[in-house]
Amino acid sequence: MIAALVLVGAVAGGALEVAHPAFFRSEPVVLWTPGAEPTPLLFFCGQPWPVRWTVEAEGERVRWEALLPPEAPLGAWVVCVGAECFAFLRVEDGASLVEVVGAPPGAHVAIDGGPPHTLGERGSGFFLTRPGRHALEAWHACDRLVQVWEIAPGERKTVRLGDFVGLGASSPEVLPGRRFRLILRVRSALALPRLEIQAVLPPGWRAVGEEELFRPVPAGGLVERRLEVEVPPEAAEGVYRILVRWHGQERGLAMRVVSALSPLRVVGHWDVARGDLDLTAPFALTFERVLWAASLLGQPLPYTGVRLTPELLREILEAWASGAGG
Amino acid sequence: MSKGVGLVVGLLVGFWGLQAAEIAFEPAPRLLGTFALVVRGVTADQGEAVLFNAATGQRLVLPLERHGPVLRTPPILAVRPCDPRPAGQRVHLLEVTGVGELLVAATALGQGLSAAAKVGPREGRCELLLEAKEGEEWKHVQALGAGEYRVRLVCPPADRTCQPDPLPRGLRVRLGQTELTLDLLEDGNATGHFVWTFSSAFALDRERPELLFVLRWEDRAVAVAAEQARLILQVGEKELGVPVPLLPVEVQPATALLVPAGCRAQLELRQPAEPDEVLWWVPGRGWFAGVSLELAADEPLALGVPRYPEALLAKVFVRKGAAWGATQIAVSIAPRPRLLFVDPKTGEEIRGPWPAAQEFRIRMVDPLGFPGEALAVYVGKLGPQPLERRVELRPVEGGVYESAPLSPRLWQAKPGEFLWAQVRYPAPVACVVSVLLPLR
Repeated sequence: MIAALVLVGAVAGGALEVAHPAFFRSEPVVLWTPGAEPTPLLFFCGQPWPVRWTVEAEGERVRWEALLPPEAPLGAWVVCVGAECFAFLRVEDGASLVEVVGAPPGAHVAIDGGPPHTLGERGSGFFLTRPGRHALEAWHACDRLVQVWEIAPGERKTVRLGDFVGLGASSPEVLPGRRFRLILRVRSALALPRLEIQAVLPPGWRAVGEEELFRPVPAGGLVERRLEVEVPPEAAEGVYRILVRWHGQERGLAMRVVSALSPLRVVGHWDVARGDLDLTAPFALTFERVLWAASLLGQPLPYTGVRLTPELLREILEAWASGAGG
Repeated sequence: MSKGVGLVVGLLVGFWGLQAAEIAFEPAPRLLGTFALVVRGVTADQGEAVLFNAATGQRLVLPLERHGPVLRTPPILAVRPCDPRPAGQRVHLLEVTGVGELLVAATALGQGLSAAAKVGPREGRCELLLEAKEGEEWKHVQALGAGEYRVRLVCPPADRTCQPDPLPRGLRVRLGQTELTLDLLEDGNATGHFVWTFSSAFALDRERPELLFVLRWEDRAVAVAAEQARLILQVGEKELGVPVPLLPVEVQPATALLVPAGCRAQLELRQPAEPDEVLWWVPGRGWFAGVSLELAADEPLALGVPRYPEALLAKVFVRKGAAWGATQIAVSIAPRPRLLFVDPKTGEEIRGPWPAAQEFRIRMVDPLGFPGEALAVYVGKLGPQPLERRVELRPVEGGVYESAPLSPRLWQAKPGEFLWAQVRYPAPVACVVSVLLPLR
């Protein structure tokens, strides 16, 4: 059986991100690093090439931008931040660049019937073309697509074959020893036999239900797949980060491990039929769940560490009445 | 005919055949020169001599006294009206109007003797001097540049009359292939000085293109290629050669440059330092200003077929102050070298994606302009962890350089990734030759 989920200790290439695999001569080199130190260094044919960087904070990362002088040679350049390096191309302004991103690893891409390029695990590749009208053909497994478009001199065209639209969880909070579901939303231009992802889970956490990942992904539409994850009983309270990479695109999620849940969270995830908490199910305040909560008035509410007071019940009823939580 | 002339003619006719005795001018009479009449071959110890200027009619009767074997008159000085009279000297003044006048000397001794001579030019050597105007002064110089100059000829023999005399046969001037004769007039009545004033300058002929050295005087001008410019002045046998030094110009690279097609190269002025004007000429491309020149070698195409080598002669013209210099650099455009990934088994160029587990070689074809035995190529992987490394190519047959077999594993390359190889030309050529190898 081919694995749809690969658990890895870390997702490669996270610290240094370069905006493009190739930059035009008149275009600044742009990259992001986790912090403002150390300063990126540029090299050409093994020789350092001093540049002046413009630095600015961008979210949790630092964005670096440097415009190379026009006389700086074209070809392969290397940028290094500490021990991490990345090689990019510098090309003439008159050329045209086609970047293919979000493709399934191993997909084949060809332009104008040329030799096919096999895309690597990053799910991306690029073509340096002449300006004009081109046909891009991509195929993977049993699906194939052809796109025809015009590209102008100095234009960079991004062909997105897959979009990791979002990563969510059935509950943002979870109790030690309990399960929850990761919810992945993707869109793929090519039909896929399954959803193949790489995930980085906190130590001791394990994926216990990956059946949905083996369902085919149809081309074009937004697809949602769930992956059940179990938190170890010994997990301490705190925030844990989960990373998922799909076709070279990475999404992160912060999960909070708590010793007690909020009353509303417990009610919204209560499995009335089984009489237990189910954090793998979507949160929803249904009539049955509210009715169950009302039956506990004055008694301890499980997994919350509190008794259900009339005030708490009123809050739950108001949330249900307003439609919050489904 | 005057009485004096009648006497002289009579003496000449009557005593022509008796030449054992003679009267002579010693030394030959010159303008402003002292001479005497000398009688030889007579027994008398004294007598008289008559000196007659046929042009002015002046007649001097001079005593003859014995001095050893000869009789001699007192010194006679030929002077013009404009010449200063010598003070305190015991000389007889013979009035002349200029050079070439006929003098006749006669004596009754020896049964009548006579002689004739013409007044010769002033004694002295002619000297040619070049002077440059510095402020209000003229200073002697030995080389020409741009500025105001004069050639001063100090030539007493050319002072012939009491009027400003023309310079006999003129001043011959030769500049490059141009030769001409200038008519000069004495700068005073009796100075013996002749002056030719001119200006000189460098001029850039943008049509040829060439640096010219131009002489201008009155309404005339002569221009020659500056590198051939040498002014030669000649008066009679006297010659003066004057060099026209140019500003030493040094360019990096010195004389020749090989530029691969599609590449750029930089020509840079090294000397002189801090020039005022630098102009480069590239045939077919035009004029460019600045201490450096970037040459972009386009692909020369004729009927769609590359034509190599294409050669051109770039020139640089440099001015510092009024001085100019120039030099030229031979630029050859050669085929652009090609880097190839090749199959180590077949030697064929790899044109499509190559198995990531299979070895390859790197080959360089037409490596013109790369010195040395080995050639360094930088090889890496595009994207994260490029693991760039220097790979040596060594010459194989046919002027081709090749690497040893290399495995993509050296770069931890996987299918879907690209390896690159590139080589950078040494300065002054700014050129990078790159090639990509997609892996499958």
